[in-house]
Amino acid sequence: MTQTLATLLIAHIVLGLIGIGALFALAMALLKKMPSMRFLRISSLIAVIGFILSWISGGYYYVTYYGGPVKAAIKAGPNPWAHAFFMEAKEHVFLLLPFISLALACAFFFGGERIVSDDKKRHALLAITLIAGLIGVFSTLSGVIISGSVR
Amino acid sequence: MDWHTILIALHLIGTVLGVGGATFAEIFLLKSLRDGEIDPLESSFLKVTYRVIRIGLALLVLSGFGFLILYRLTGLEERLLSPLLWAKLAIVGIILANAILLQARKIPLWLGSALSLASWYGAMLIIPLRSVFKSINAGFFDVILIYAAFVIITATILFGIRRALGIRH
Repeated sequence: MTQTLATLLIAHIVLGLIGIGALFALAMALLKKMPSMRFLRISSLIAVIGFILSWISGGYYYVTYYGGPVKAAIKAGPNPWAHAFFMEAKEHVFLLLPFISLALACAFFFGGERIVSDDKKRHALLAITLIAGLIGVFSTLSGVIISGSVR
Repeated sequence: MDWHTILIALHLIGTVLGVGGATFAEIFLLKSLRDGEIDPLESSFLKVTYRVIRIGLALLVLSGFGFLILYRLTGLEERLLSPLLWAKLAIVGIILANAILLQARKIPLWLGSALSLASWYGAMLIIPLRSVFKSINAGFFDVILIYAAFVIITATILFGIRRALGIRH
């Protein structure tokens, strides 16, 4: 693996974790009766940026490197299901994250106080945030399994 | 300084902040609840302590994944599927879920605080105790079972302390 590819892999993981951390912060804030609008906007923006950059870096790594030697090594190794199930699932469900985060950010930037002061809408946004967070955790753990299966 | 040393330092700082924060959060909570209510000063102490715990958690997670990246890049990939590593990931997941449940008031305070305290100590002890777990050939579920027993013991001890202090909550 070249230095550039290693950097892209590190960026993919770290930026994804930052995105999940931002979603966690968002969920904790949305559980408050009167969350800070500024905090919600900044957290959702960090999540969007984190996931989009993670998508780009991971996507480039996948197309230029993973699809060749890494995929072959996993398929020939003791856990071929790590690619067949976890990578296949991860590369599809991960795509939801940038768009869900973008939808959340739009809600906070354009809906503002009107949305957050309405308990029903705030709870709906919380549910979406938690679902996105769970998808993020699934993607992260899938990544650990996939990397652990490279032999 | 190499990456491994930097990651160990960050992981230790994160663990110290998390375990120390969780311990002091419990002490402050017990002291605050003695008179039956949490006054603004006590509340501010608790808020600061929870903030310290979150900083510790962020450092723990980021440095922990730093180790995983290092294993991947240095040909030690088999470590990523170790049962102890997955047990630690599960415990960190419980810490996160517990924080959300506590904030949402969907978990009783006595259980949430016992879970938080036991999970932080569990996350800290799991790797130093790896030789013990290996000697008994413990798998993922064995470690989780031991952790569950640890949570019950912690909850029982905290219950005893609360009773001795006359705290009803």
